[in-house]
Amino acid sequence: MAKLTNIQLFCILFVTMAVTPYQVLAKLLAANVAQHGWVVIIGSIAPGLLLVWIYYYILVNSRRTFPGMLEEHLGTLIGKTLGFVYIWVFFLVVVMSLVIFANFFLSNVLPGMPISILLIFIILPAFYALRNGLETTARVIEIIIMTGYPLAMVLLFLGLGPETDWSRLMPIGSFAMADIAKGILLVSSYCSFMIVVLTLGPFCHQPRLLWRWMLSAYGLFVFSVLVMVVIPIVAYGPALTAVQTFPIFNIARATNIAGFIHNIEIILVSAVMPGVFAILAVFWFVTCYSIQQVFGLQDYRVMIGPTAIMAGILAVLLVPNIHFLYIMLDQIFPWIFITIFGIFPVILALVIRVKRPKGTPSGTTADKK
Amino acid sequence: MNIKPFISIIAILLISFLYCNGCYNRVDLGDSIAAVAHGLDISPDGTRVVSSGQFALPPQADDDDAPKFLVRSASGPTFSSAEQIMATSLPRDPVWSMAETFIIGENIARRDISLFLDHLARTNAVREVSLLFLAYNSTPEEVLKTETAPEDTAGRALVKMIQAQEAQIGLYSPVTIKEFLYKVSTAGVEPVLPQVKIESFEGKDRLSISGLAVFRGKQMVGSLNEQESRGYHFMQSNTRGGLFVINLPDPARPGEQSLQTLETINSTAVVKPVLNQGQLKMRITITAEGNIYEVAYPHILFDLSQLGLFEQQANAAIQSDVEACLRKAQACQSDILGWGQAIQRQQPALWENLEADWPAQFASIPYEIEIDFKLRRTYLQGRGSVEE
Repeated sequence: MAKLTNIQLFCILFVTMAVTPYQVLAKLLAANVAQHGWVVIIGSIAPGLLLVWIYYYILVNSRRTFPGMLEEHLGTLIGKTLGFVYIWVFFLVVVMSLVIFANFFLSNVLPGMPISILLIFIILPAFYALRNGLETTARVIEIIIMTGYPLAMVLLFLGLGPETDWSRLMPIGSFAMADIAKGILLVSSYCSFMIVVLTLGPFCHQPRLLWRWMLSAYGLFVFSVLVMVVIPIVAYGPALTAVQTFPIFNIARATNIAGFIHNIEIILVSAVMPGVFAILAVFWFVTCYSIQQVFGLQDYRVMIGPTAIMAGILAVLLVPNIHFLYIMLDQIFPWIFITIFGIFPVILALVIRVKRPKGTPSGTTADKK
Repeated sequence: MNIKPFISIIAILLISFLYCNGCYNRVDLGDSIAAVAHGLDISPDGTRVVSSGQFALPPQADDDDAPKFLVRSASGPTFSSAEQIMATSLPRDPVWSMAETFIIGENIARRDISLFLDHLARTNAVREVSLLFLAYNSTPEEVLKTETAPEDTAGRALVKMIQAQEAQIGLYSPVTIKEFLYKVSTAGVEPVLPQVKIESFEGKDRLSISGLAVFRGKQMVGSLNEQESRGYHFMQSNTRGGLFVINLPDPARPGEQSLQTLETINSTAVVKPVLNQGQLKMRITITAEGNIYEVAYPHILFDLSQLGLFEQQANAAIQSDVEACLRKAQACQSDILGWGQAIQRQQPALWENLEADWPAQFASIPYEIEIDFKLRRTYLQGRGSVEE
């Protein structure tokens, strides 16, 4: 059985949570809560910690990997039915990542490039990575995070030029609670991508110690999204951030240090592309692995080819234009993800708790291979 | 772990990125011409927009008198279509993303700035760090055609002019497209633009930066002169550099005054809305420090009382400049100083009542100004070099 190191799992968890917010969260939060994005992120810490705890609780109280643990705790019929639903939602994340990246790339970088070529050249590496196995994919993602993440963050901080005005984060307090709740939902929906730990956690050396790495990944995620949301606001103000399609990219375009370092947005693209590869590879693996588990296949690799074609086609068909994409990101996807990746695991955890025999300490069933 | 597949994946990733590096949007150097400045205006009848471009020509090795730039203009229903029309008369592809200067015509500024705002914000060929200017009493095309020795092009010359004078004189600050878009899109603040004038000097035209164009909503509504612009400069939250002149009694000629030049090292302005029995007043506190740059009578003795007099007169001079700026801004009903933003941040409930007709409200808000200027140094000399 493949083995992942805890560092690799940390990198995988972080990249699945952080890549999509890096591209879209600043605009979404500015459109919903104006300059109060940082308030939303602080408010989302509690739900995020709850999700981390829920995932860890399910992980240590299950013998099988996800979605097999659905059958383990809920029975074969309900387990397989829910597993089938989860396959499609995981696949939705794959397609969504492709769509966001394609729109980002074709809006800001190379408008003249055919979308099919772009999709082929982002799907192909992920396809090859999955064919070579989880360990290899995890190692590549580890390298990507260690090289790409500092670069991505430095580029954001370089955008703090002389026009930065921290008072653009004011005033605090003139917000509607419904907007703040929606913002917390948005941030929590990206945090819920950590659900992949239920599939990948059992592949680690010491699953019982995973809580440290899960908390660390979540902590880094909170810090990162805080930076991603605050810097566009102090650089552009909430009104301008809300109307731009990808504010982070504009930050990189507008960076000009002493008139010498400028036009560095291509470095940002170089950091984003591997990140998109990483989230694509992880959720694609989880999708194929879930198909293997639900349908009892011998190996998940047989599904990589067909799902690759489906992903490419759906990425073109899912949204007709970028405006529709943002409507889905703002109003539809968060509800889907928080329900499937958030509420269902909470219910599963409750079921595990209720079904646990009295007197049995928590976690005793998780003797991992 | 088997290292071979790991290296293979990295290699495939790198190869994939190579295919995403720009082949589809490539423009060969020999097929392109760099736009160094871009002009945006509207026809006199207001039916078509006019796009002008100043393009840098390659230097000719054996001909020092060869033209260094080319100016082309075209009109169209939108700026993008005007640029397409312009491209049909150019044998090379214009690279608009290299334009570091954008000149807005006074016609279009007074008519409606939203006609060019989308062009500045939406297209990826426009870089937000480019500087914006307004062509005062002229058109962008005329500005671009003006020779600006020793620089080759007006676009480059304007960038250098405004950057140099910001540090040395401190009258006008560069305005980037990013800053302009921010102020246009944000409630409670209005933008300004440095004005470019064409002056005739010894039979030749030359460019000068003179005054600031004031906007309200979607239109240009007035201009700040030099004194008012200096007041605007002092009202910014943090500034560095600048010279200003004060009056002092001339001891050599009783009853008369002479002018002394002071230099501002830095200044900080804090604007605070104060509510007093339901009446709003803006309290402006400016803290500045500076040096003595030049004195008119070199036999002056720099004792503490004399320096105190310098500081007193400096406070009065700064107050006069700031009041001039405030009077003009309120006369134009244009909140170029960001008072609305200050109220929004510090008194959000009050802002909700004022926001709807803020320009009219702004025009009648009283203010009190407190200046604290401190002299620090006198450069290379203390007292004057001429004995009385």
